[in-house]
Amino acid sequence: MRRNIIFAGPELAFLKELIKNKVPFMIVGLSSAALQGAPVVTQDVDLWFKDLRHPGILKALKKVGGTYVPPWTSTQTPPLFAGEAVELFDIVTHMHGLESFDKEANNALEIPLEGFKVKVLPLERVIASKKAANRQKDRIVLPVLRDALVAQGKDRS
Amino acid sequence: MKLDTTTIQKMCAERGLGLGQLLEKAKVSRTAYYSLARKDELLPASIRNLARALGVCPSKVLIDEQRLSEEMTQIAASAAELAARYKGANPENVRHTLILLRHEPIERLRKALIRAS
Repeated sequence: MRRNIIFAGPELAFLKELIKNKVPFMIVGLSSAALQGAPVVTQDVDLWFKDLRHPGILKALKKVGGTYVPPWTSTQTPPLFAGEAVELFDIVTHMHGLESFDKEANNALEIPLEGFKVKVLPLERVIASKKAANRQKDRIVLPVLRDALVAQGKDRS
Repeated sequence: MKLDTTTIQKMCAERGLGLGQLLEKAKVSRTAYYSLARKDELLPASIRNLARALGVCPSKVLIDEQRLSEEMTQIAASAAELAARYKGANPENVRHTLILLRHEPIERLRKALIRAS
């Protein structure tokens, strides 16, 4: 049976398990912007992992009943998570227009969720990555992200 | 939670009103006013119990429409002021951001997530 609340117990449990297992990751993309107040909509939560081979990822998946689906080069299918608890998450291993994971992680925000804190890419860096990716969907959302910066009293340029 | 008659009288004086004039303006009878003034507790026990169980004061579990209206007016004014200060900013986007920033981060994310049913 489908749950009514989006992003509740199972998804939070997965993030908690990643943190417990010391997996270096952060929330990026529009979910990151949404956590910082940007009025956007998105269908998934992008997780940028420093290293997908980190054993803590599989441990966290096992704990919440999910699994890892490796990439398929022949069909250009990216790596995925499978299972109800993790179906909202998309895996990111490279971010356009940004520095290395470690450099960005140093400046990441620590945003409290329900009882724990998660690393989140700052809005300014989300904008930088969207500018660099420059897909149609990125260009559409950029003005809204810049206006969200203004709401925080920061320059939108 | 009791009726603060001292404050009411003080506010009447500040506005040059007698108590009778206030009651007439508010369409509250003297009987009703003094009945309320005598009560040790104005809020229903259920509301007080809910608030106590949450460890907050009762006003936290009640919707204050006047306060909400004032907050929204304040937010709209702040959005307009910010949009005027930063060239090219859309006041609607700024206002929506300011509204979302009143919520917890997890609630902001939940509002952003859409899912095909």
